[in-house]
Amino acid sequence: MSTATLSAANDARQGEAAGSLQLVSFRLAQEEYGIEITKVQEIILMGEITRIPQTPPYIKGLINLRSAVIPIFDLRLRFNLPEEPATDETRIMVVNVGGKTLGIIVDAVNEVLRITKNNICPPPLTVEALGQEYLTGLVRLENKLLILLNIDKILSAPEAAIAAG
Amino acid sequence: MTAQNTNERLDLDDILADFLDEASQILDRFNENMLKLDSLVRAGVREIELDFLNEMFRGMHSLKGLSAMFGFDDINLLTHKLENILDAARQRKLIVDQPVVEVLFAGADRLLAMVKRLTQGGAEIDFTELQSQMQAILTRTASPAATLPEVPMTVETVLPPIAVSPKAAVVDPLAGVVDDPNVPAKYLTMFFDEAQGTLDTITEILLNSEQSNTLESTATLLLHAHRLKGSAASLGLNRVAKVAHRAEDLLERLKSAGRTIVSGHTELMYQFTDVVREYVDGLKAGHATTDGFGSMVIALNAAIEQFTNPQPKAATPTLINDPAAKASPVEIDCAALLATTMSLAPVGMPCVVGIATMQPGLPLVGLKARLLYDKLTLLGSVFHFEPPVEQLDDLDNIPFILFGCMTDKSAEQVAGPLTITGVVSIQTEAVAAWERAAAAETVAEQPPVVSPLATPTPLAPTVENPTAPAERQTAKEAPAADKQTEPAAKVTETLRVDVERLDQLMNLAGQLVINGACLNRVEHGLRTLVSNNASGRAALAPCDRMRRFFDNLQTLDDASAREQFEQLRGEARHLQNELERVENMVKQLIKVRGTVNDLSEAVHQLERVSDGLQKSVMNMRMVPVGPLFNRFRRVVRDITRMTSKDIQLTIHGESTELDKRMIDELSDPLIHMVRNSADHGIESPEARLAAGKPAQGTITLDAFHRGNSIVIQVKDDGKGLDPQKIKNKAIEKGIIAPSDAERMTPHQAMQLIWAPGFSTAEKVTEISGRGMGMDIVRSKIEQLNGTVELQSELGVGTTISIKLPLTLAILPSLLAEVSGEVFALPIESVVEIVDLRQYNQPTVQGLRTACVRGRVISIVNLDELFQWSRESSYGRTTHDSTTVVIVSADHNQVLGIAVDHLIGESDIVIKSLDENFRNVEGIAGASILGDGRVSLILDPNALASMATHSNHLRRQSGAKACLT
Repeated sequence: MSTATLSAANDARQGEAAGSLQLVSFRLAQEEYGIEITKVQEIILMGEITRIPQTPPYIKGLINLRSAVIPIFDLRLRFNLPEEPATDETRIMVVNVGGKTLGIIVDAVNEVLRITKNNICPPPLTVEALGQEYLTGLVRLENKLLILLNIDKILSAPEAAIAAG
Repeated sequence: MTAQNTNERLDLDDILADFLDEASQILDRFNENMLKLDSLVRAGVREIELDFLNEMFRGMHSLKGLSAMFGFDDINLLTHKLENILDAARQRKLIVDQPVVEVLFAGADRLLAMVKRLTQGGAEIDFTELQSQMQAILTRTASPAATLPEVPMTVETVLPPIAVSPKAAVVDPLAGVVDDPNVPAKYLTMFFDEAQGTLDTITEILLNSEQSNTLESTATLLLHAHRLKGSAASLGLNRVAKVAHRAEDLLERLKSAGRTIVSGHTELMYQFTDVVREYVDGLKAGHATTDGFGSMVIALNAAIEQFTNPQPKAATPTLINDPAAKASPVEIDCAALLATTMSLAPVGMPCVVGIATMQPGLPLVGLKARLLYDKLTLLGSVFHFEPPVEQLDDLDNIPFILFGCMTDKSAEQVAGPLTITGVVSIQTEAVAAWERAAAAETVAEQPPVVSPLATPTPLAPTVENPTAPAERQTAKEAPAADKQTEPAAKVTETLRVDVERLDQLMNLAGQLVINGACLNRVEHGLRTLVSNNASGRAALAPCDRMRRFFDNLQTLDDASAREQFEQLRGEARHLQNELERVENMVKQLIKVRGTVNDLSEAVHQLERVSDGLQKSVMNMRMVPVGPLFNRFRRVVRDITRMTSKDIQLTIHGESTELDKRMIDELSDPLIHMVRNSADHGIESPEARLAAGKPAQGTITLDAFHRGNSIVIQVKDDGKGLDPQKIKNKAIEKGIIAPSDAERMTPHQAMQLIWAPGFSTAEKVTEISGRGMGMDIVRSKIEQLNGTVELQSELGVGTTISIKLPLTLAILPSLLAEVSGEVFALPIESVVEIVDLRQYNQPTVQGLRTACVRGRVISIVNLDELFQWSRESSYGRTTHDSTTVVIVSADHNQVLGIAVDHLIGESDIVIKSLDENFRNVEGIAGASILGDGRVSLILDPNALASMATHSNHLRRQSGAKACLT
């Protein structure tokens, strides 16, 4: 009896812990994306970026983030979307991926929101543009759909491929 | 529970770091001592100084204790074995000979490997074979009788068996000597001052004695030692008093013998002051430690002993069958010998000691000696008789007999019956009251180890406590005392800091410098904006004029145009108000100028502070190069042993400081160079003698500052490099074409040794030529932003100079702009900067080149060499850019890099691209410019190979195009 109650309580707690997720949502070419907030270190304004040779186009270059030199990835180019000049809303999201700190350029950062995991549904089968492995899923919100990105995969996979190649 | 575990783990990590630190220190010291021991053994010294063996023993013992604490069983076991061997050695049960030294060396090596393994992982270190070797050595000691006859002439066998006295087995020379626990505090303070003053004086005298060593100084030293003893004893600080007493004894002996102190004694006295100082300091702090005293007393006793028997070969062997002694009567230092004997006298007993000089060459001297012994036993109880009674019958020549006897009789009464035929003279002395007191102490103090026959004793209590600070202190300060510098009066406090934290601090300091520069730029901009004084004033002048004009306008009155005037006047008033505002603004601007001046002052202050900060942080990473150099003593020794060459390693500039990381990185290349010098450079003694050189070759390691860099030199006086041989070899290996070889100067030919796959050794020996070629050495050095230079003269020797930047963190570089991007070039690699218009610029197969001083240099354009994924926002380089920076690259290559314009020289902080990204070909790293922008650091070597490669590709694709 007591065991059952305990496990039930545990389930609830786990459900609560596991069921909710905090995301930072951002805009990229009219679509809204979300990244887990734990991956995001900070959001900074666009500054001057020093380009680096011998790198794929989506690597914009390097910036100085408080004396650390970090690479900047352009997510638009990464997703084969047309490049756009930076606007007032363009931001760099500084994320921590695999022990490294890097920045990704997004069109705009929207908000921080909390979702429940129940709201996540698997990505549709035909998401050609992105490549499914980068998507954790889609988040149904009241009036819109949020694309949940697996930032580790997006940034590390091609880099690993380059290193290997 | 888990939390606690983590805590423990953390603590453990911390302690482990401590262990590693401690262990490597101990092992370093041990290795150093091993080298000394080795040279002693090879010099034929059979009786290794006790103090020295003790120190080695202590080192192993400390490590044993530490390893047991951490559960490092392998280290524990091995140190235990080593300890056993050393223990046997210091108890004179084991003669330290070459095999023993080898085993000890092997043991030290294994230990080092084991300690290394703790940090770097790897297979377990197997030492079973070594263990059995050690066992063999130890078994040899178990039956000393079996070994000793093999070496009849060894000093061990004839060492005066002073310690036969039963009391000699007392291990701690200070056992039973206790400080009075109730010393009034006010007297203690007085003692502190007194002791400190006395110690300072002693130190000073010792320092002075290095220049002018007089009898007087010995006398003064004696006086001070005596004073120290007196003041300590009067307070009941008996242990200090004892130590001081022994020092006094030593000095007394020196003085009475009319000798000045020699370096060995100076050394000892330094140690003595250190130990006492340590004690006094400790006492002041409330936790006096006397752990160093035991060994100090042993050392002093040994010195006294040594002094008494200064040259065992000259004096002691006369006790045995020494033909030389028959011919010439040996001078005997009766007083000293008597004093020694006296010190053996039992406590509280009336004693007489004496020395009987025997007639040289007396037949049946052994019988006479026995007769003397028998007579003595009748007089009282003999506590000392030398030579030992058991040996008397075997001795053919006994120059003198030393004896001590517990008896109520006076000295004369003892001397009387002993005067028998064959005894030339006899000298006896009663142990007087004060001497008896001294003797009482010395009995306790007598180390057990002076006798080979002494019963094996367990570890001395002084070494039982391996972590005792005093112990470690003495061990650490010994090298300092070696140099006879500050005798450790100054105890500098140190703090172990994680290198990562230091790097962090370094980073921040670097950033601060950059921010300072940034602020400086802003200030400069502001200043130029407001500095135009004239323009500010000039702006005020029209304001004035306008105002006057309006005033005139006000006074104008013409009825006909009144209405228009009113209108104009209104307009003018309005304008006037506006103008006033402008005027105020200009005035404010002028005030701002003053503020800007204040700002620039503040900025300059900030820059100075941040520069200072950066420098001191950098200094924190600097460590002397000495320990690194000293490691090579061992390397050279090993080679010497393996090759039968006689090589001496001279070390200079040990105190030159280098970045810690650099020291770590330099170890391998330097070992390689030293090995090369020893193996290929230095000839065999015969060849050297034939060449008119001393048989002993010399390898010199030197470190010194030159400008903004540090130079490390490996120099040998060997056979030098043979350019012709090198050329042949290079041709053979396909490194150069025979036609090239003919055109090469000797100097150029020598540089070929840096080429990959080159090895000058005719045959690959065990020592060098293990695959790490000179090219690897060079690239290693270049990784450290250093350069390496080789100079050699056939038959005279070779010098390799490594030039390194002061630190790894800062790279002096040349900043240049290419296509609007700023690039940094390591200044070390910049050969020259040229304006191409002055030179002939032929194209070779469509590639841009320039003839600069007779050398054809390929010019590369970074825009073309690099593959840029996006256009620079500043446009491409104009192809006719005429400024070219010529850089040197690997293999004596040079490369011209076209730049749009030069910015200047700057010290930049290197940031690794790999840290947050990955390495990029041609780029050595990034740095942050004064304006906060990131600039890329070019890697000349990579650029050169990229250029070669890309031309290759171009040619290939061109060929393909032709085919199709």
